[in-house]
Amino acid sequence: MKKFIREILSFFLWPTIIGVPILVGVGYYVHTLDSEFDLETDIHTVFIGDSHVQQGINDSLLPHSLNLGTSSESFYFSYFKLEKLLSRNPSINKVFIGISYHSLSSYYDNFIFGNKSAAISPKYFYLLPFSQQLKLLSWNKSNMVSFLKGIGNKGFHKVNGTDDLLHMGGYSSRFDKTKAVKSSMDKRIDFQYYSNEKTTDFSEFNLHYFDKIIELCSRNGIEIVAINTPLHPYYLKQVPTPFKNKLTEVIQSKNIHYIDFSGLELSDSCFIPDGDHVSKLGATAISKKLLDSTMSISF
Amino acid sequence: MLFNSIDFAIFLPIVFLLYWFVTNKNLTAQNLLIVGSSYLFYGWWDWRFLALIFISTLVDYFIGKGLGKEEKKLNRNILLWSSISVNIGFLGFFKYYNFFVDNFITAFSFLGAEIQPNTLEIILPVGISFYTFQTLSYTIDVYRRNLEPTNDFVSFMAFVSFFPQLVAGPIERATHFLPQFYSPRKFDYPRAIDGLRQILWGLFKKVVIADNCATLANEIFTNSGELSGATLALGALFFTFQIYGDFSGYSDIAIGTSRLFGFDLMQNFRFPYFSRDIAEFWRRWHISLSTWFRDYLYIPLGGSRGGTGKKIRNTFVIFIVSGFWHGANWTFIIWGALNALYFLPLLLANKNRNHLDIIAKGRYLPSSKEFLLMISTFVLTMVAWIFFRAENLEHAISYVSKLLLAPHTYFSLGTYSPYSTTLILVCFFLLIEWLGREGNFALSNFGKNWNRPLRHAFYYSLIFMIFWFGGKEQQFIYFQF
Repeated sequence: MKKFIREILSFFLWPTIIGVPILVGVGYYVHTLDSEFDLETDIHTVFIGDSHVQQGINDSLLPHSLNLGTSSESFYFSYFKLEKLLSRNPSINKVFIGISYHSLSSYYDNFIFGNKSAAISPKYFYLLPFSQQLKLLSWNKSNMVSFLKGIGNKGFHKVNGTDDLLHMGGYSSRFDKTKAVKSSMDKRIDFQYYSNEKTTDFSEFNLHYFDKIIELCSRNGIEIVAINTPLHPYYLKQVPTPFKNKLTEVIQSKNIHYIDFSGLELSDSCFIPDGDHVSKLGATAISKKLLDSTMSISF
Repeated sequence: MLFNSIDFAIFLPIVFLLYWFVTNKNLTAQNLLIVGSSYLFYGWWDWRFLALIFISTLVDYFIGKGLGKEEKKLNRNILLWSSISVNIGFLGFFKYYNFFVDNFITAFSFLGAEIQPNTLEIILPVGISFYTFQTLSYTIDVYRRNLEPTNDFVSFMAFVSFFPQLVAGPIERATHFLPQFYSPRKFDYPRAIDGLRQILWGLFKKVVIADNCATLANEIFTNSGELSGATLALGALFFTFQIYGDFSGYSDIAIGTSRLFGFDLMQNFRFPYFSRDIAEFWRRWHISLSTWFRDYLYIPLGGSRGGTGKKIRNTFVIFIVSGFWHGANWTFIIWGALNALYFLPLLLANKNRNHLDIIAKGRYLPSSKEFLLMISTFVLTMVAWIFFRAENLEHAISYVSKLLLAPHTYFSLGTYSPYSTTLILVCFFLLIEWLGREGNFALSNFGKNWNRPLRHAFYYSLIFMIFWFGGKEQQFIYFQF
């Protein structure tokens, strides 16, 4: 038995002795490779959020602005991304944060702790502080293999200079000449607001980080504006009332500037099939609307 | 708890250390530890169904004791059939209730009768088919007087619930497995090391081969209506390796884990895809189930004795029942019947025991005849797996039709390139399996005589591949059976 234990320990010991310091060292080195957070000095406004922001704001139409929205980005990751951006770019004086009814749903937790996390979390791993990296590792223990693989891949591409920079996001839309489709909207509603035929809970974790984003901006003297991008009327009608009430409550309690485009009247071609996102045409419409002087927003 | 999860990676060393360092001086304590850890292992998935295992254990324990005392044939029969009724009753309810209700409704609707469906939302308890058959083997063997009934309830509980093989086999025979709980276990270094090698190879099969093939097979089977014949062939190929990697991988981990605890489980797979005919395939695939049906169903029915009609009947019965054991769906029944059709000519021509040894024994390469036989058997098996994997009969028939009757789409391998990594992994896997085919599992002999650094480098490479090529953690297919 002693021989067996000795053999096992020695089998794992050598790779651990050699591997762990290398991994920690490489991890630290990769953590420092963050020049993508140094923005042009003429950027004063950044848009942060998930695919609603990413696909909804055409920043080429908005002067001195940069859309940094990324698909499936939760407030948790947005917070650390913004913290890094603000510490490196004193020119930023305004932050638009995307928020919608779905942002409050606990389905978003899946992108941090759950079965969707291994596909999402690794891209943010290296921008997190060490304590959060450890937490993320422990949250993903059930998908550890895929998660570690994701981190490994990301690290490799960062060192190699071939990182896709997906964590930085940016305006992107491949939806041209589309329109909302009822069955897709039903599917989307079911995915975002229901679990086992019951309404999902609110994501307290995500809401906590929404608060922290507001605090962060306030601490740095940055103006923050919450923006809710347009939703198709059919989709909007299907959003469960508790989520509508909760968003109103959250916004009112924070006393921040809020632009609510969710009920904005747009043609069908301004939406993509899920009714939850706008198409290229929709993005142009919103971006122009933001420039409208009646919105009293300066860029 | 899944074998390929972090939970199990923590659970196993803890149980191992407690087993050999804390409870090693007391056999009952060791068996109790096995029971406790097995119930924890199972309860991790759903603790509510622990009651089912316990009831099954209790029923068969007392029926076994009753059979030990009872001499009257009628009373012995009553006891035997009570055990069969309880066990098959559980299985029937949880696994087949909705299937029978649906089919009765369909049958009556043909006759013009309208029946209101009364199906239930039943969750299938993981591994029910496996532990039910294992406990049944005990009762039947005691009934046949092949085994003395046990008076040791703790050992019996451990025999029924032994965690490495509780949820997906191998389905152990009481005559082989139960006595192992009566005698003190001694730690055996070579056996434990061999067990670890088997676990490693099992994980490789599951995580690298099965899970990666699963992603592609799922995609192709789901979208089969829109894909070319060539892509469908690729889908069937991926599923063929998925199911083998998944199930034999599980068996390897189960057998390897058992060896760490001083137990020997029966071999469940012996390189089935290297078979030269279907009869050989069935001697090498899911051996614990095939031999279970052989011993408790086929032979009592008369086996291959008697006239041609009886042989045909018995062959169809065993294959169809075996198919139905896998699940309450016509696809499994057709899969079983198809295998019976493959097997029958060999049986009737008395050629079903032509290939008893492993192919090309003592040689590196097979002869051209052996190679052709192996490929043709593989293709027949692959076609049958389409029925096994398809959602329903309609899906299976349309899949096979498109595959066989649309030759103009055969060479449109437009979606080939994204699959190349998985194909390379499958080739590597086949190479190692081929080189190690004369052992109990691929790594049992392969690389054993290499010097230590080289051997360890090979094992590190496998571990690296498990991490690097590991697909998304997936449930083992056979859990649902």
